[in-house]
Amino acid sequence: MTRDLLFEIGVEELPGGYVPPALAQLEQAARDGLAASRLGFADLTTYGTPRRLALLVRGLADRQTDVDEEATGPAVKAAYDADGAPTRALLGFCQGKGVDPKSVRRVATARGEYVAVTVHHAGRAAIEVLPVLLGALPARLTFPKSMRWIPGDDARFARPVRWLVALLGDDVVAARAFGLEAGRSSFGHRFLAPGAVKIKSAGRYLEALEKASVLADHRARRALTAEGVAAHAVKAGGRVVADDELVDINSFLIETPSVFTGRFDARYLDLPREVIVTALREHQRYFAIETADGGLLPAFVAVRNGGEAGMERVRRGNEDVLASRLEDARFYWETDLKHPPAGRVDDLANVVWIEGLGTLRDKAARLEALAGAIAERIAPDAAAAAKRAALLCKTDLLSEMIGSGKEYAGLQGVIGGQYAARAGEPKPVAEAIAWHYHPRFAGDALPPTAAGLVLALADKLDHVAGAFVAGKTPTGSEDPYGVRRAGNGVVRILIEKTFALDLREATMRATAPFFAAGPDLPQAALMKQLGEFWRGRVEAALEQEGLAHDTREAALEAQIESDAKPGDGRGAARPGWIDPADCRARARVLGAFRDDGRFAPLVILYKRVANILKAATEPLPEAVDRARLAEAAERDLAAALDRARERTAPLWRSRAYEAVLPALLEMEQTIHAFFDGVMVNVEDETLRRNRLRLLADVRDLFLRGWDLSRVVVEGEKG
Amino acid sequence: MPGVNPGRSLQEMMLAIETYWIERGCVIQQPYPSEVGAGTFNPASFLRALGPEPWRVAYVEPSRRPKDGRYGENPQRFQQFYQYQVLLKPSPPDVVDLYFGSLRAIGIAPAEHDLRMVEDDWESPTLGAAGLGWQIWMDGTEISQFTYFQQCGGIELPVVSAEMTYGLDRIGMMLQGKDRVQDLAWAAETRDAAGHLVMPAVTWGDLWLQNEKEWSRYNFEAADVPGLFEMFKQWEKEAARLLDLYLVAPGYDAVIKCSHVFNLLDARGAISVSERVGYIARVRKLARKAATAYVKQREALGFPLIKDDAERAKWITAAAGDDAKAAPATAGRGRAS
Repeated sequence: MTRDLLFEIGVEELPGGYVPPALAQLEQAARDGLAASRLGFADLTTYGTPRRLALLVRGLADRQTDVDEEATGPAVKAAYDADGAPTRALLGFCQGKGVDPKSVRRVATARGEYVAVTVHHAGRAAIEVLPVLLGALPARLTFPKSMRWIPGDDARFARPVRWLVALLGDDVVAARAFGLEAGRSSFGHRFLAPGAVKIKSAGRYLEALEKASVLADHRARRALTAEGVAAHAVKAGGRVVADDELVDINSFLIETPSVFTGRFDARYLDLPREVIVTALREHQRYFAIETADGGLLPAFVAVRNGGEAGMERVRRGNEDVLASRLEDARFYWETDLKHPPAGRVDDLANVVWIEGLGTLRDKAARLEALAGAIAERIAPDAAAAAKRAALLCKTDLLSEMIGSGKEYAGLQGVIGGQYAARAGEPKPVAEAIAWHYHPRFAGDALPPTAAGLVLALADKLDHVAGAFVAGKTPTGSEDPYGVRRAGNGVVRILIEKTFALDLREATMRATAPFFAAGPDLPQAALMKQLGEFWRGRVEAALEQEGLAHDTREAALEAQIESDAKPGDGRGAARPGWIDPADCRARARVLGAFRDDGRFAPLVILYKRVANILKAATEPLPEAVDRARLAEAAERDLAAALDRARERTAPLWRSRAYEAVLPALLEMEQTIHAFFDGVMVNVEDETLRRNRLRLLADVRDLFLRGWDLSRVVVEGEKG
Repeated sequence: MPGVNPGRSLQEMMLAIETYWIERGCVIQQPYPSEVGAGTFNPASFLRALGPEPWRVAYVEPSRRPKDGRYGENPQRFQQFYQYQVLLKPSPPDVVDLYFGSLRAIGIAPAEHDLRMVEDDWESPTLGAAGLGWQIWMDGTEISQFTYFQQCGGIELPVVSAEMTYGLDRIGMMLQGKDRVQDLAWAAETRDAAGHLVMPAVTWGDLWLQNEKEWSRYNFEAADVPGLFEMFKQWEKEAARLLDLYLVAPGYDAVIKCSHVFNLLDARGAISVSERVGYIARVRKLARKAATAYVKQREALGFPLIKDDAERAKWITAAAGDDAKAAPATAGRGRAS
């Protein structure tokens, strides 16, 4: 027989953002708990509002399944005395398992003969097992911030838990948590249906609450909210500015939606769109409405926690609050327009950036130089605009809009771009300022202009370098200064725009001003930490693309050729991660080539070459002495290597890595022939070293793109 | 005009809210007679929230935020405003219902408004106090702050208080349907039995407009910066000295003065962004010292507000230590050094 199970945690209003993750945790904890308790079920789902986290299990087994436990006891030698009578050890074991000593059997194990017994555990009734299982669930939920509220008890939850409902079919499950005993009384909407709501049976939870003005099913509530908002926007003569996140936020702030429209004075439409949307969205959680041509309407849609009573007053109240926010914004905007960004540069000296790393004026100077250097590498035409924007880009932090109007702080950069444009700065400068914080998170848009990209790179490189110098490095999951985020932004720009920027060189430039100002800083150690940091960011980007661990390692650990010295591949080699776009290209080619039938043999062959060289610790000559190539097979290999270098030289240069691998593969037969026909480790030292050098040259040619010894292929042990 | 009508004047609203909380066991302790930025600073909240003793208190607190002054020109922003402060310790299970009950007591029917509990992690960096709770919004306007105190003076609280802070001016404006604080009726007119005017109506503007203008000028223009810096140092030194003597009340008073002087310097633009954090940390250090001294003192006094002997014994034995014995509970009566 099966029944439905309901468990509801009644709580004071949770932060909306806490509910979805809590429901996911509740579901997982319940699945784990039921599996561990051997209770099968047909279906498990969760429901959530700000005031309740609920779990509904359909078709839960009435009893645990029976289980036979195979238990091994003491060794036979220890289980019986000389007369063959059971020892204390055996009796103790049997007592512990609740079996008769006569029922044990003997089993042979690797360690000798032991006694064993099969213990049959009959399943208990679900109603007996569930109290402990359910009672333990709330404590399994974790929140970004939690609190205590029970005197003398350190139990924590996001907000105080006030009731528990636990029903198996029609029966109350005697679960306890937070000093509360579960019952069948839930509570309805705080204002529309205050008071207890008796839930008759688990399966009728949703309908009982719906009668009490609560839509507990968040999916249905979200859909209703979205529909209502869209319909009201149309009624107001436009369409809602699509914002799925805002729908989520709103639907988790309420227990039942009631949508209304409000208006604001059209003169505020002179403000930048971003400012208006921020006033609507960030603080008041209202939806903006736009016309077909994309302009904003002087109206908004808002969601109230149910009910139509007093709607006129509610609308007016919300309109008044919005008006005063927009009025603040207008005041900030007009005040700020009197102070063009260029006039604020010197005032940047009054604001400290990171303690010990100088002021924002210092930062502006660093950014100016760094943007210039980066532009030279990746976008020389944008250098002037990028440098000008670098000098001005932090001035909006001194503006009223950002400095005083805390609710508009999220507009940093964007508003700076607006002020620059109004002050007559060239468009590329204003746009670079507006976009220089981008990308601010995974999936955020990149700056659309060259100068914007250059400045975004400079700002983040400076941020990362400065944070390391100041010791604000990320550790574990902690990254209060957003250093990893900044690093990810740099790598994303370089990869998506395929900019060939040398991260080590850029980091040296970014750290130079800090090192000049602090000669006592441990420069070598910091550069090493920064190198590891950047390697980690590049690896994370490759991982995000779904590239396998060993593919990533092979590309990251290559010894790529220096930009400055195109040569035979042995010159000033650089680690493979140093140029993220290049690294990604190599990793992708390698990843794709892995399906090729020739791949595995190639890797095995490469490893053979690499292993011989790894075992040889002696110094090798600078170059192969052609005159000393004694055997035909080694002369053939040298010739094949020459051909491969010749064929790949233009391919390396043009980064046509997909063509490089087949070209290298052409050496396969001659390498095999070399190993078959030539003895490498001969007595003659000169001959031996010459042969090792030849192999090293072969290895190094591969290594310019990939360290194939990192790759694990089937049929060989890593 | 017999009876109290909370929608008619601010003072009637204050009376209705006070009556409600008196009926729920609150001591009406009155405002603290020194400048505070919020009702939380009043020792009736800040100090009483510490330690295990039960406590229920409510009071109006005229609060000063020098930076918020707008020369009386902004209809919603002013440097002196009125908070109603309620602290319930321990927080009872129905505390949220009690709060909404208090709104009903001043004539607000929750079902006829858009009332939201918007998450808020409240923190007072100067007091080293923090808690979780909500801002309460009515029809889009924040009208109250509701906080479960977790920490006070940097000390994790053994018994959690619920603090409810009402923005009286704002709620009054909403109840009376006034857009400008200047028009807020503070007191309604009074007539005698014969209908003769005894006292005309008095508005917020009548009482406070000139005050706002003058204080705004003082806060932003006229306050003596070097003098204030000197005062900050003096009060800081005094607070530390007094608290070392276990003169908790005068010592904490000096902390409050430090905090207010800092707020004045901040409004005057005399403290740079980087220095700001440092000044706040200095006040917090003193607040922590006051909190620690207070807890030891209450312990030495035997936590007198705990009336149950068994309960008291639990806390005393749990917390007894050399420190507690060293705290002279009678410092006020004995020689000060």
